[in-house]
Amino acid sequence: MGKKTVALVGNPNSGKTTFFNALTGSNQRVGNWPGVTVEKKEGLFKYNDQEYRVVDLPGTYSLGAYSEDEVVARDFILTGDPDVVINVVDATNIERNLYLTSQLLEMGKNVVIALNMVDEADKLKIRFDLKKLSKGLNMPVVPTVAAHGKGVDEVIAEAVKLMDKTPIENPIVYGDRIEEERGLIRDKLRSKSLKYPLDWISLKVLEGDEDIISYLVEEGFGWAKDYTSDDLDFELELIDKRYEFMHRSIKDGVQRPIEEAVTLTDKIDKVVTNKYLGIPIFALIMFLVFQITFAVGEDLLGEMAAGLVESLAESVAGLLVAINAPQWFVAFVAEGVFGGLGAVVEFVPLITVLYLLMGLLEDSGYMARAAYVMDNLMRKLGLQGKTFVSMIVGFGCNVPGIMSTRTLDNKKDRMIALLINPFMSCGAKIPIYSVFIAAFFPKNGGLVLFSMYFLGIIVALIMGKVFSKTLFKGESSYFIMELPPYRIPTLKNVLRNMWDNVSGFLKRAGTTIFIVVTMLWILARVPFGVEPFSESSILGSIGHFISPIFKPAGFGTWQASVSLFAGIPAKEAVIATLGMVYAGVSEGAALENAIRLHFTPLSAVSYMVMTLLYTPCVSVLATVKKETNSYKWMIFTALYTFFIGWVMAVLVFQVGGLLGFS
Amino acid sequence: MLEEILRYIEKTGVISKTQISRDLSMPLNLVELGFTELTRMGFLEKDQPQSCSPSLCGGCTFAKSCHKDLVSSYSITEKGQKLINN
Repeated sequence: MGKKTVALVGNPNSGKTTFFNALTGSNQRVGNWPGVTVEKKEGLFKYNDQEYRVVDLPGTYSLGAYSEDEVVARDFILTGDPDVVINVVDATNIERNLYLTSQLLEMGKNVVIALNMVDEADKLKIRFDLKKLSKGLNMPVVPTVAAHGKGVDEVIAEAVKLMDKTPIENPIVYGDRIEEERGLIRDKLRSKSLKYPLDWISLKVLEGDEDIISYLVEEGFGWAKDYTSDDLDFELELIDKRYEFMHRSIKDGVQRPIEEAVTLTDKIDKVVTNKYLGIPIFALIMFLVFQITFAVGEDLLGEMAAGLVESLAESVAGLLVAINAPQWFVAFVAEGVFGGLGAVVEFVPLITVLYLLMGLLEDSGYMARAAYVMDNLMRKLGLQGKTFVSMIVGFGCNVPGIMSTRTLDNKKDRMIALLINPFMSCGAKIPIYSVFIAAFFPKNGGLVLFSMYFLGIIVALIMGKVFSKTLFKGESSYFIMELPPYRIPTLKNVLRNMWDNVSGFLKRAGTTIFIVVTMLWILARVPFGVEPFSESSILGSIGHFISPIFKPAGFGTWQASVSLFAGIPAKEAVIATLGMVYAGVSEGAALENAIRLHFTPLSAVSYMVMTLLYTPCVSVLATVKKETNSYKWMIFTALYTFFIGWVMAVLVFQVGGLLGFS
Repeated sequence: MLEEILRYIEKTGVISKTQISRDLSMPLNLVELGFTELTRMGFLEKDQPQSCSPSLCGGCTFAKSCHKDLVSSYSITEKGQKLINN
């Protein structure tokens, strides 16, 4: 008489191989399953002086035909004629593991459950009522800790008891619709002897299992192909029935502690995603972010950075003079590099703090809630909720913000999201606000910064609504947002997010901005012989030419005008230009003083509003062209944003003036 | 149960697995497994975050920080919608 065979099945990481090793010791051999590259492990063990063969089947989550592992496992169970199946189940994740168990029950085999890693489950305070669990599943359930060999003998004892018994009936209740159809299938198949049990085949046919349907077609049952059609969708119903069985089976037998993280997430979400409180809370959080950013990044660290840039500028200029460097080069370093580029770089601490805080919000899971609460508002405005996600990305840079609109399937939604993204205040605009805030509103820095971002969102939403009613009419597509549980942000993620943004800012300053600043510096000194940075230079002439446009907005000087012009190649160049034209070598406080002389608080606000909303930089325009494959939309974006920026700036200045502000 | 999950998310428009677990009285692990199954069977589709485009992002200094999967989202497919409507 041959040795009786035990098949070992289980999910990956359920401890199945540890169980196999505990059972067989060194008495095992490794090979391959015929025709496939899947490893075959089998061994021998003794129980009550009787030797048994045990086959360790590949770890799988189910027994469909989605991978070679699944096919090997199910074929062995069905055609390899094991006398009993031991199903190793991870006790810490029993719900997921039982899906495989439910499929084993459908195969008409005797099954014993080795409820493994019960020690780990105990640590997680998961409690099992083994009697109830066993009754619910209609099979023996034995607790084990295979890593320590605990419970292995007891599992074998149960397995041996079952070996000669008639397999239990499948306890899953499928309902009349499925049972009737199964009956029909079984009747049609009775004419021929098949290698798989009819009960199981009937389920697989209803599930639309392509492997089994192909087999049946080969055997001459061509009608089986009809069950691959979506119209006869029994698959969901079948899986649903398995779920119901699993749920029913574990309901009384497994007790999990109420997860604190889950409870906490629910409690927080009740408040932060509340219909009425959600948006005010989001606004408050963002306000606090900007307050802290300004207090720490500008007031505390910003002044130190400005001091460093200033002393470095003086030292370098002194050194260049000492080594008799050409005068033009000394001027370039002083005015262009330190006056222009330095004015940008000294805002690195501010940007660092802002991205640190944004990273904390993102990593905690709050940003998903922000998108969710805004989604409700967006839908009311006829916009697609996912648009807000691209708007959040646009806070960093509008190029990825626009690219992230690719996830919107509907063309109407995508075009609107793409066209309103430039209104989101990107990181490059922060230095502009910071200089004006330091010059005019040092005590309300956070509030002004917050107002700029908020205004950008409001204008974007209004324009979105306008577009959805005019250029892009139609229904918005529908999507569902996932709210992950809250978690404590990890230092690594937060720092990486911060570094990616800050290093991006610095790299851009060292490349694009440097080139732009160099070009502007040259334009400010030609034609040769004119006074550098004067109205007579080419730069001055450009500024002079366009300045009348900005008179109604309160900043119609050639310097302010040319700085806006310089912002089209790159927004950082706005402050770099102001640094050069107003302050030359002495940036920092000197630039603020110069700005105080040329602006009023009201015109400063008007100027900030203009920089927030007007034509985006060329990289953004190029992205619009690339994403829409149309110059028309690129030009439209450049012009309409300029128009909106100008109208808003004029409104701020004129209405502010009427209200008595100056 | 899967159908119940699908109908629930269609109705609420949000996927909080913890919320589904609580409101439908299902263990959280089972809800997670349900999502895997619904996606595998084509009733739900997980939206993929936009991957970086070498032609456009190669020279961008913010390439590392831009393609963040800030929010995971799903769409109910036509097949899923058909099931809900029936």
